[in-house]
Amino acid sequence: MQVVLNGKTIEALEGMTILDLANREGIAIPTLCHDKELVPNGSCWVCAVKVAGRRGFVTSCGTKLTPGMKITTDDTEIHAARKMALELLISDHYADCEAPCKLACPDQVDVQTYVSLIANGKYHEAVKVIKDTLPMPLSIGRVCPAFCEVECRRKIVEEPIAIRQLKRFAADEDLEDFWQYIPEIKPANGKKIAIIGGGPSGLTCGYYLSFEGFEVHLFEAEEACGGWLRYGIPEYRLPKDILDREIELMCMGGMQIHYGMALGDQLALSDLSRDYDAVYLAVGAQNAVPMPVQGSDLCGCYLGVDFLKSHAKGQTPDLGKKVAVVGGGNTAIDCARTAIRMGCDVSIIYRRTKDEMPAELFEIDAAMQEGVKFHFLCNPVEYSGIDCKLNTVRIEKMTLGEPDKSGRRRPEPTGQCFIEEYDSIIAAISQVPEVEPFSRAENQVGGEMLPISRWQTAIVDNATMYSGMANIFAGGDFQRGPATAIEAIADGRKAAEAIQSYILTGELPKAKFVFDSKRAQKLEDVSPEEYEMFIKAPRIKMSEIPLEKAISTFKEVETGFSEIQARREAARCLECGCQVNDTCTLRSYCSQYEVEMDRFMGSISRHPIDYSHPFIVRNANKCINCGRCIRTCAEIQGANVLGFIYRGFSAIVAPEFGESLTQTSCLACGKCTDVCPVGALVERNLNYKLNPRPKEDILQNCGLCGVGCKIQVEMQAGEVVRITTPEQDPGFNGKNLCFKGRFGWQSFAGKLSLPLIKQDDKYQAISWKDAIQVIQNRLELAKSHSIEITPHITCEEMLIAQRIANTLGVDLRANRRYFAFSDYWLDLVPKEYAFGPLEDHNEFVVIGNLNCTLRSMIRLEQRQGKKLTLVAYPDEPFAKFADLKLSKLRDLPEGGNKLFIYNQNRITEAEAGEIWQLAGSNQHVLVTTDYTNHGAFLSVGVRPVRTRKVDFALCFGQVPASKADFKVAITPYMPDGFEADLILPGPNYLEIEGLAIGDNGEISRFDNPAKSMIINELMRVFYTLNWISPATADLPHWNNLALGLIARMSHYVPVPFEALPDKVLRETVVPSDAPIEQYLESLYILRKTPVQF
Amino acid sequence: MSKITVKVGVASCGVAAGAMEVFELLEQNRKTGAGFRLMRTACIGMCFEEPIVELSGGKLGNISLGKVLPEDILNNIEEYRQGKMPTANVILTEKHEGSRDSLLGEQTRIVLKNCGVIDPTSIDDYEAHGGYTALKKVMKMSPEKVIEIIKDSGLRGRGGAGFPTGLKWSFAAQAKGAKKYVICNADEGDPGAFMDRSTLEGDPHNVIEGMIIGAYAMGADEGYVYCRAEYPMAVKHLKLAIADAQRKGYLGRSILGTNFYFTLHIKEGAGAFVCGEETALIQSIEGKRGMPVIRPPFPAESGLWGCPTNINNVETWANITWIINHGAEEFKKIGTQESPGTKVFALAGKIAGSGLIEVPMGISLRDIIYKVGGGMKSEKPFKAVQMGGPSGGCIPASLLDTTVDYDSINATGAIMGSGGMVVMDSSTCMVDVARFFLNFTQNESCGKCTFCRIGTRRMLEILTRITKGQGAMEDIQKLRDLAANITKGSLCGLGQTAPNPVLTTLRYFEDEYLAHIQDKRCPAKVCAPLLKYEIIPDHCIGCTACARVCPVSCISGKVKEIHLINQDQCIHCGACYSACKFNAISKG
Repeated sequence: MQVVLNGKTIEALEGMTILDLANREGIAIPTLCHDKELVPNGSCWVCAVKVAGRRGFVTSCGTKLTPGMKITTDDTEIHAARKMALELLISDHYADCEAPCKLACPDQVDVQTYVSLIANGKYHEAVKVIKDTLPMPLSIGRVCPAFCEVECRRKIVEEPIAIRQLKRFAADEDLEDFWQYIPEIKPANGKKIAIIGGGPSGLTCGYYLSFEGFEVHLFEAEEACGGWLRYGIPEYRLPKDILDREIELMCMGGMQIHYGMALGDQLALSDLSRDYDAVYLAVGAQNAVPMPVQGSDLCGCYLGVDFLKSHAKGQTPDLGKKVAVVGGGNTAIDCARTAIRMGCDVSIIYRRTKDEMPAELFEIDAAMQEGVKFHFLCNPVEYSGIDCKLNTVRIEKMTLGEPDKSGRRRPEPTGQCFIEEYDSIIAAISQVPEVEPFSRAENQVGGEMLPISRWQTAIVDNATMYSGMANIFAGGDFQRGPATAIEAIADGRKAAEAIQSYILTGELPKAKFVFDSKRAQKLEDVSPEEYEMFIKAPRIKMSEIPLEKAISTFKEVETGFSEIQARREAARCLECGCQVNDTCTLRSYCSQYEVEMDRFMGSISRHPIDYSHPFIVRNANKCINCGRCIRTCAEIQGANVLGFIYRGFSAIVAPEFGESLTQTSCLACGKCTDVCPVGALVERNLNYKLNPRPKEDILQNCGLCGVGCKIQVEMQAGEVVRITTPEQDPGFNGKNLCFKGRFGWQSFAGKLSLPLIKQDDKYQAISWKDAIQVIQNRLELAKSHSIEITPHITCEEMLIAQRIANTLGVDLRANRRYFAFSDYWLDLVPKEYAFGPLEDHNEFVVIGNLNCTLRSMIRLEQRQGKKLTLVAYPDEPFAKFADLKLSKLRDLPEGGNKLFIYNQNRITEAEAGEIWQLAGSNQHVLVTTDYTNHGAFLSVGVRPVRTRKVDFALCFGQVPASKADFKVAITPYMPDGFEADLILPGPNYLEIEGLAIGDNGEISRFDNPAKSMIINELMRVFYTLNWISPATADLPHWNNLALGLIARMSHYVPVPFEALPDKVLRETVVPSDAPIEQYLESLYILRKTPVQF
Repeated sequence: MSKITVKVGVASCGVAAGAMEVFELLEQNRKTGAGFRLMRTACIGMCFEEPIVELSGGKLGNISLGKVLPEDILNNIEEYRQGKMPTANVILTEKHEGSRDSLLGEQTRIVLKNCGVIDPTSIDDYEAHGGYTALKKVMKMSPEKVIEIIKDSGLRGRGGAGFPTGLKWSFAAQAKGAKKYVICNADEGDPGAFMDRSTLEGDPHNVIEGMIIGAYAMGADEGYVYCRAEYPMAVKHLKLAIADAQRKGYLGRSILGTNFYFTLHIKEGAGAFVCGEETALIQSIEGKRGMPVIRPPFPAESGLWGCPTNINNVETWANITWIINHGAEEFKKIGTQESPGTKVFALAGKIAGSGLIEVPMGISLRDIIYKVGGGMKSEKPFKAVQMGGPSGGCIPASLLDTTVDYDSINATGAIMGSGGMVVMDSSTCMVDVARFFLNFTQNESCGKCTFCRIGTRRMLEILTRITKGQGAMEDIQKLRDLAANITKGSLCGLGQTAPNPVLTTLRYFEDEYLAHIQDKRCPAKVCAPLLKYEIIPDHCIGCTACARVCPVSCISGKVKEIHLINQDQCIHCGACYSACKFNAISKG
């Protein structure tokens, strides 16, 4: 069939949709509601295209090609319509892409992520996240005014998260850690950068550039770096040894600092511009603005900055007894608190009231507590002295008038004055940069002078810090005027990015449009009702040294959080930023189409976030009604627990009857979270506070049943935090996983980590060394042994067991329950895809309950038009898909190309016998199990245990089945009723790099993402006992043997089925006895238990 | 002298006006030997005259009395028996052609031929009026022949879009499938429309017979009437009619002794407007939430439970028997060439004769309003007529000579629709009208398509802002942009047509929008926030009536002194305006 796509005639296949064709041709068409497993829905309309002759647009996902169809996939009208569709969706998308704390931070530090990492105890990783944008957490964690906390939504519940303190905690932890976080240094690129000024901005710029491979030379006029952090912030807020260590860490990338080098003295800008590839000017704003008061030249009159600086340098002037500090900013407070520590009687004189003070409230309160007096609504108008030495200050009373431009009420003089006696007065009003040197010829570049504003600051582009002149960049206080350290750092980082791009590409970085959905512009605009569900948990206050000690020394006042305090405080975070903000399809289209969030502002549907399900968070505020969750739940999983409720604008996806998901028949398969194109349905983790940061993915197979689904194991800070279906390359299971596969690993919290010995009917943890001793003692007495395996373990473990059996001169044994009459006929040839028979048959007969993902796979086949018959199937959602339901196999109609499917652990042998008899050939029977490694178990050469009692028995994966005087079990878990004399922890499928052969020869590969050492410990036990040679106590050795096993099995030819054996088949079901089953069971029950957040 | 027959119209409209009281009174008297036959019938269409009683069998022939009162009716019957014209509100006499009874005189009745004439609960009465003769005729023809007749008749679907019915039938007939369905769409949902309800209440067998004929022609063996549950009398009459038809062998196995088999079910809809859309209707019958699905495939190919399905609305089905009985040629003589036959309209709004009418296609709007409908209700001039319900549009006075056929109506920007006709006079604000209809559609959107779900809501919000005087000039362009994409980017007719009321009012009454936006003024004096109430000093006598009713006490003034309205506090409720007996308050 030929169609015309964008003016080009091309060949297309019957049954293809426009979207299929476009995908094939590499033409990008956005879509939100389409899912190739599902029938097209055509609801989102972002896939709108035009077809000649059709009125309006058509949905490309739902329009099948017809011969000669003329399709236009994009033009201005289509583009505008798609953009409008996105804008309409966004107008009712009550959600935050990024957490408000991150957006409030001038440096955009990913607060939510590092706070969550702290809550999870991952301090090192938290520091790594912080240092992505903020390389000075030790200092900033102590001095930052915390813009983030102002916007913290937790404030609506009670108080904001103590973000600054948490940052300090993580940084302190990392500092004491042997493995401090130091980024990888990129190879040198031969480019040289000069940075003028060693304050936070210059240091930051140099830090990032040096790790990127630049040769960075930082020139500092003083004899130490830190700028205002060193000379402005007093010791009691930021101990200078901490600052020193921070700067030391920052230099690990190779940044070279040259002290005593000042611009205008030792350095000329024209030289720097010529000799370096770029120059970053971060000279700060160090000149104090003098007090325009008569008598300010008297002795005893100081300026705030100069005072703090000389104090920092150990050249503190003698202030006398009574000291006045003029001003209301942080500098004034710092001067006052410093003077208090010098034993002075200190008063702050401020023109307005406490409410208008620009200093942080907690600083003001601390100053008051320490005994600083405040003269509000006062202004010094004249200093008088005796012998050129300050004696009295005439102070005028002020009153508040109309608000000025800054919104603060303007102080107005009243004419009333009073006189106070002071020995010295410190004016801390404001600072400006020193700009005089830039007018000199040697500091001009190409005859051009650096552009300077009338506030005596550098004029630069705010996104790149580029001055517009030659290769000169400038930032920090030098371009802002006196501001905070975090803002200076933000400038330094931006400058580093811009300089890197400028040098390497010759161009400044272009601003990329990134869409950000916001629930509100400001905290005040958020409706408090939404936060009523949260239980109040007050902010934890960081402890401080006693007041009397505080005011008499310069010791740091805040003493830091304990680990318990920090984790508890971090756990308070409400996780405002979207879990999937990096992968959200809606957000990426909104960025691509440069969507305006408020083009169609209007009413918004607000819904309480449903945190009641232990594994799934449902946030209808983010829902875009694409219905993918509804359709996948109803059409593939059969649970049908979601649907639309209400009509019109209020229509929304909700669980049946609008209840909590825990009250529905939800199977907790989590597929809804996988198909949701936004963050309306996301997974949660019982034991880990998840965050939006991209995680490290590892692809492997699931080891919880014989199907062996492909899974994506997501790691953060060396820990598994999420399991989902592979995003890029889904396996044969597609987007399907069952509860066990997706959430089952969360039961690993119950895993054993140390050997357990039974003493007086109780288990007691012992060291590995003691365990070896116990076994050794036992072995000395033992004359008969039994070495057993189970189908729950990897090939590697089976081979080790085999070796041990050989060493001990016994056969490898296993519990009789693992053997079935059909073992000989099964096709165990290892293969990458074992479910081919599903494709080769057009009628499926399922007998008894089946593995969940296999059910989904059958369902997907059935949707291609195949027939499904269920026999003796439990009353369970999948049952509704049956084309035919039977209670007895004998009622099955004859004929047809039937595939019989059953799970060996869920029906009786007698029933299975009937199936084999009907099928007549192993070509038409698909046997699955709940075992990890059924294939290898049957191929490794194992015999049933004997009835004779032995002295010593060891079993991999379970309690030995042999009767024995001493039983050793190797198992990851110890469920109830576990009876062994000694238990050794064993690896599970996420703890060993190994292989397994599942049902029908499915090859599963397991990784060890969290780098568990358990298998190494076990091998140490085995070689210490001389069961294996030391040379083989190495997993790769066994990996090779496992590969050999698979290679041998590839030549295996199954015995053709002819007739049932002449023996009585068991009438009871033999379920899997894997120790994890009990844990999975108790975890599965949780899906019906609402949780409180 | 033959016995007098008394027919009481006890359809929903009659019952609402008190017809049951009249009927029960007559029933008692008849039992006590009053000497007349008592019959129930349905609505004749003159809903504004209900309760209506028709008398026949006397010297005066058939006469109908309107607005009948229980206390008078026995006297009236007595007068009639004596050959005297009853001293009552006589609305129709036997010679209604060309008489004052123009309401019926201008009408041509095909669909409504039996409505208000027969007893809808009696299959015998239906048969006595020629019922089931068409079916008998059809059973002697081949199915192809039946489709050919319908094709020849030129009948177009009366649901609104006007798709040729014969063609639609032929698609379903040609579709492959062992099982086929026919469906009658009786999910009438337009505000102010009640054609289907009246038809089903008044003549259910006519619809059923049409469906049986259709099923025979298309090879269907099962049918559904999808009727909204808010129509209890229609459902009741349908149920009865189906049972009776089954009893008489018109439905069920071996219909009229042939091999033809057809069963009919009623599915009561829960009142979702969107379920009138055929794919949503099918979903609803299947037990799912009524949400439209992508077409193609069209229902004719894959409809109910994946089987070929034909859906026609009540009025379309009701035309079939007439066409079979009279032939395609006779049908084509009525109406226009492109739109043959008649159309039923529900007249509502500021019109004198509100009710149900059936007129030949090709009649002008002017004739419908001024001749059939009896003109405007008050002396206020005609301003516009809204056709096609919320999916339609407003046709202004300047286009009154537009003829009623599918293509001419579409050209105005409105649509024929199912037949709702809301007449407006100068006291109607067109922005407010657009807002009203849009409010309806946006509430009734199923919520599936982005443009329809959120876009109509945003349009409504803009219109609401405009009616509150908070509109901005760019809002007009925003409305047009939204309307364009909603029309082009919606799966079903609901979304595709939802912006029509806004688009047509913007087309014909843009000045009213501008007055609201630029002058902060509502020319029709409807939008309360834009109204200003002021005391006219010359008229005010200081009676205090206004001050006493003001809910916010913003009117000051002493007895016998001129009052004053404090404009800052006034909430524009209009209570003072209504209370003033001296026309001393101006509204503007």
